[in-house]
Amino acid sequence: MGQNVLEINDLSVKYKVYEGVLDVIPDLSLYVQEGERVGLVGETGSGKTTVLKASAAILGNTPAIVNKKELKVCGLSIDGIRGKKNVRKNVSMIFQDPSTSLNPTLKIQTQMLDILKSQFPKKSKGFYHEMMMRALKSVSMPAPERVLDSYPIQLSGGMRQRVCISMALMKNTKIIIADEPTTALDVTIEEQILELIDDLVKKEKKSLILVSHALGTVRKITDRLYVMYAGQIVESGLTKDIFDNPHHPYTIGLIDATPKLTGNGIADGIAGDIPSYLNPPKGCRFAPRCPRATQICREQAPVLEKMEGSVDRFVSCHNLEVSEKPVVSSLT
Amino acid sequence: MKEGLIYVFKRFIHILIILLVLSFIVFSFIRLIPGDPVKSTLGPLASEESVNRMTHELYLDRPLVVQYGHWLKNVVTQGDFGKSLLTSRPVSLDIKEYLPRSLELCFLSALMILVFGVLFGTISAVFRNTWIDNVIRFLTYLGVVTPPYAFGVLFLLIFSYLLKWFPIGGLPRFSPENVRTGMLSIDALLMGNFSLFIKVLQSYFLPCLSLAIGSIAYQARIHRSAMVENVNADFIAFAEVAGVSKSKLIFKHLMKPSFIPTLTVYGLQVASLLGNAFIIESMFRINGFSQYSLNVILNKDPYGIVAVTFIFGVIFAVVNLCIDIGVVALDPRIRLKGAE
Repeated sequence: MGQNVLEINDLSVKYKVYEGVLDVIPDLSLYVQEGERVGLVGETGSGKTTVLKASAAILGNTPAIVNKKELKVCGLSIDGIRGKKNVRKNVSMIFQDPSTSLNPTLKIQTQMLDILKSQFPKKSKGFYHEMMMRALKSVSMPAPERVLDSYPIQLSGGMRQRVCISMALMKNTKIIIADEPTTALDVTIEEQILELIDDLVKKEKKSLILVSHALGTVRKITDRLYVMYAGQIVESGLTKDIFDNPHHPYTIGLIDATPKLTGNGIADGIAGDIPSYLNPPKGCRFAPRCPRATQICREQAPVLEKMEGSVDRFVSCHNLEVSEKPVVSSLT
Repeated sequence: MKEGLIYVFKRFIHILIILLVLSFIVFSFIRLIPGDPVKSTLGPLASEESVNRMTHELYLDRPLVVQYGHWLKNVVTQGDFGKSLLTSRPVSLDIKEYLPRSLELCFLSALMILVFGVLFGTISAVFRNTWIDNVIRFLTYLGVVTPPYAFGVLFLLIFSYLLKWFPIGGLPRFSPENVRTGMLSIDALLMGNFSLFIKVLQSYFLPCLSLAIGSIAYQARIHRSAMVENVNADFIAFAEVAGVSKSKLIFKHLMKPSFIPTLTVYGLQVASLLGNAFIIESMFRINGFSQYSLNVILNKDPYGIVAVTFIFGVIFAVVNLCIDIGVVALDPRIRLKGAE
């Protein structure tokens, strides 16, 4: 694998709200290499989207306090206005809900044109039209002419997400950030969209960060995986390794909670909820829900440490030595 | 565009029906008010013969439906709203004299509301949560809670009496042959007299500002909140990451959807300007329609009241139609649904 196209070191994000300050992400580091497909999983509210938004430098619109020690895109810092430009040049993002990520009052054509005009200023109408048609055809959009002349409301959810993907790809960037791109779509469309993203990423040799609740999807598409809980990465490593042999109790619970084709019904999931960010637990953030939690977990936060004899495998847990529950990995 | 036209046509039919119903209701309710307008006009010493004659002339001795039919026929065919008992002239003549001035006043105020409301709202939203935003929010709050006459007095005192920048009430007088539309600024322009035009605008400035300032403040607040709501919308973040330039992002992608609530509220503000204008009109000695309508109502002038209410209804409806057209032009969601 080549160089890091995205590198986040010691990112911390807090949100100011009425009740106080939410310490959402205390300290987080991750990297994505060239041509690598990285997954980011974790339950709702674990801060996945916040990480992505920090990477795309759009947290400025929210009441977030971002304290990034180092955040680099393609080797360039994303601090300040110039940094924002670096990000815009190198990062594309696909959002979760296609029904809200397109401007409801502008035609698809207008929205695409505005993106193109900032990318390729002062070109002829024909050039822009050609580009838009090519972008729509690249996502196998039926009837692209009609789509261009439509408002978002006139398109179906799947079509809107295709439009979003084509718009994200119009910029020739190295990184594509996909924030649960299929959550708002139905199952048949979900499959198509994921295949589409996978194809495009492979064909154009781009790096991908995929956030998803669907572990099956993540397993199929990504090379490497980060598991997040309450704003922290609890486990990371090659996707295959993690699914074959999860170490962190949260990862184990997460994988167990997925319904399996082999039957045995649906597991109970992990009892409890994500802790309040207003006043997070002093020790390990997962301790209140952890079946293995001991005294030390409640008092001292574990550190993400490399496991001995592993390839890029990191886990943050005090009680790894406890005999592990065997995991039936029949996820497909 | 076809969907838009269908929608507007539908709204137009609605308005016609509403105006018909409105006029009929007002027409019948006037008859329910105790006291005979004819007797109160002619005085207690009038002979029964003259009372009867006048009652007959005013169509008041016939059944209600016939009266209404007669009135409606005259309105539609000749623009004749009947005769006012207050001024002893056809009501339509009175309206023609008083209405243009008030319309002018309201139109200028409406312009101020739109320009300054949106301007301050946008500034406030772009610099949200900074001191600029806080100052604007404080001032607009003050503007919303202060009644217009308080501003009127204040402005008269400061700008007219102390600084002498503007005249203390009143409007420039025009000789009758120069009155063509009744709207002074347009008449001045038609005369080709530019300095008079400036003078007219000067006399209108303070009353318009006093009338508009509350609405400007309200409008600014609405526009700010609409924009701030959309700033956090996914489509703005998406467009931003996708690389839409900053100015286009604010003035096109953000402004267009934010204008929908702004415009809706704007319609209500503008439509109610005429009704709120009477204090301002009397304070600045503008002999306008609002004052006329108040007099008519206080004097129980049957045809006057119906006409005035009808005119208010028409203005409300027309303003709302314009706003609806505006909203439809802005929002494809309404346009596409409305045409179904």
